[in-house]
Amino acid sequence: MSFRPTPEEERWLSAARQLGPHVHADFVAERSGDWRTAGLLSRCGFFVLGLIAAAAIAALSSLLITGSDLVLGGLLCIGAAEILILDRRFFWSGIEEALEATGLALMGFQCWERFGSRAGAICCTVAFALAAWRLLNPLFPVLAALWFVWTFDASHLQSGLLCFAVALGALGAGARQIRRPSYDRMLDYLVVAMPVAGYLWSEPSSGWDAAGTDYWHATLSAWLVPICPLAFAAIALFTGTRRRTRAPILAGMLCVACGAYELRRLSGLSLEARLIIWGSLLLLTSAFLERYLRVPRRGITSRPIGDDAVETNLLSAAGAAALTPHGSPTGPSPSIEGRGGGFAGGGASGKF
Amino acid sequence: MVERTGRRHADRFRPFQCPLKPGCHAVPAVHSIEAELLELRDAGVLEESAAARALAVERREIFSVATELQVALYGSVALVIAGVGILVKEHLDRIGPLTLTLVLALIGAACYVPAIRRRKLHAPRSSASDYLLLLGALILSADLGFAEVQFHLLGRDWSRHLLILAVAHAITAYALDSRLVLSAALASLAGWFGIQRGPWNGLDWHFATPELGLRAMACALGTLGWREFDRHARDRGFSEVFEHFAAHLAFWGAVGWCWGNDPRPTGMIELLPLAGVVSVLTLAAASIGWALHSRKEAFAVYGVVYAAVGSSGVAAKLSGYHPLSSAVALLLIALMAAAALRRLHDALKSNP
Repeated sequence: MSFRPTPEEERWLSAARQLGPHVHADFVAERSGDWRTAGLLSRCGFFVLGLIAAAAIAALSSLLITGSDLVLGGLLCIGAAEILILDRRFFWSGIEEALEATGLALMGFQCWERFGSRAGAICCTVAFALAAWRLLNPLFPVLAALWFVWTFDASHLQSGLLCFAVALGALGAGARQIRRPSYDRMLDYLVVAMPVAGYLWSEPSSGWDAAGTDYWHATLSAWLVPICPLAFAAIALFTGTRRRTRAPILAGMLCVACGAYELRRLSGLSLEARLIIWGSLLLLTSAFLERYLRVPRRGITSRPIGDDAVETNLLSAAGAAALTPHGSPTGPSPSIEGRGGGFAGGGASGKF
Repeated sequence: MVERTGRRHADRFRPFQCPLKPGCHAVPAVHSIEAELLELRDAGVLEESAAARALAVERREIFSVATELQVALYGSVALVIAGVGILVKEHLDRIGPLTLTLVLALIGAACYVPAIRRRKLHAPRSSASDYLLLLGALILSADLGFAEVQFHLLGRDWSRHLLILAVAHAITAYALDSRLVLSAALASLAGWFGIQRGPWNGLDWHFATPELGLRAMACALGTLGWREFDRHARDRGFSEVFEHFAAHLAFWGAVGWCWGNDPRPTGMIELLPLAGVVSVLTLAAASIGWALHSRKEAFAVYGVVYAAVGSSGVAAKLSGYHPLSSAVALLLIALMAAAALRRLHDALKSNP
């Protein structure tokens, strides 16, 4: 009985996932140790069902056994997940991930209740690190890293800088040839999530309705808040383009957005002018890049390679529908269709 | 934690020359499953064309930034349309309604030009012009809604402007072959049916009303009718957009009924949740049937997960929200749903 897929088995699972219907399933199954995985949509579905099951198990254990706490519920969830992994050979299926992670999180939360926030944060860090190691799921190292930063109980800026340091470490580690695809993916997730978390941590007052810092009259330490994401963006975009890996490029794009948002008061323009000008500039830049890279430059192209994934098509269609104004204007009294809502779409809820 | 690739394995990675530009630098070594792809190709289980493409991607000889550019384009459209929404709201007095309406119409129309030009040249449209077209459609939507509020063009039948928009966007989508604008048309149609809330509000108690559920189902039925017309009249490959849109709408309506409170309870059983559970199970059966017929796994996931969520609401209601009975019911539903989804997943995977 194997504890989890070996690196070789995991590589074959990754190859099968990447190639999809182009590869014969039996050929891969022989080499991947018969581990049963699920596609992205199914995995999400299983994860939701796993969360419902975990919540029910936790509730049942605390209701049936008087005086028991969340530890028992957590242990039961972990036990159920281990049965699915060891006996049914579920891996990257969603349900065992939800059960195991919820079980560990429940135990971490119980530590928080008993021993206070600092010890609780350490327990949560350990719990998510264990989940990451056991399930090889890239989401859990991010959660572990965030709890890890929390344990230091440092100032906002220091915590933010620590997040950037973790992201830089992950970016550096990504240069190595890694045998396990899941370790590579974990580093990718850290590269994308940690700088954004770092920005949010260092600027706790950031929000759509926040006035923003006046950087014309700000101190040097205040400038660190926009400089860190912008500097990380430059490093990540350079690294991603050089290595031709997706995660640093995505991280770079997000960090540019964070930096631009933080410096929103610098131009002195009104909100609508900023949105229209920067949106138009982004549109023009993207259009230029798409045109420029239509012919591959040093192997980089704007043309899609292979068939479009179903998920990508659906996401773009859903995104377009989400932007479309479909509310009712507040003019004359409504007859039968629709009521309430705001006008103008695109996130604007203007009322006339 | 990182497992380094051994020398023997590293030797199997052929050094490569970038075929696209002679003399270009090799990409720094990063994670790769090239060895597995070579084995698949040599065993003859991977088509030559698919193998060549996958190997080129793994060796970083070719790297597509199509997805990143699409994200940037979507972000730019969202920024501009939000800016336009605020502009309309804030500067109406200064600019004047007629000028604003005309200027927006002109800008919106200008966004259509690149797509129309490509169409006339019978050239494939780029992502940039596709998103520009979407921006044009969204600006025209905002413009017409604004004009309706200002000039009361349709009087008491104000909601018909959404139907007009749906028709206009549909004509554009067919004339210029755009899935994104088709999504905008479907969102406008849903707005005309009175569905203004997103999926994130699906569990909102106000959403779970008999009228809104009925409207969602009617809109789903209308969308399916449109799909049939599209398939028979002029198949443009839009079917998938219609199917997913109709599935989500119908399920939101049914799940809303399951979680909703009947305003006129009759005796022991409330009619609304009863109608909800019957609808959600019927829809789930239809969705799963379609998944098995069309080999589209997403519909199996929709069927199982929505049925589980809807049934959970009704079970909790029937148990009078008694904690123990509700927890047992939730656990049973989650386990049955997970088993059903696993079987469906295996069936869809094993019979290509």
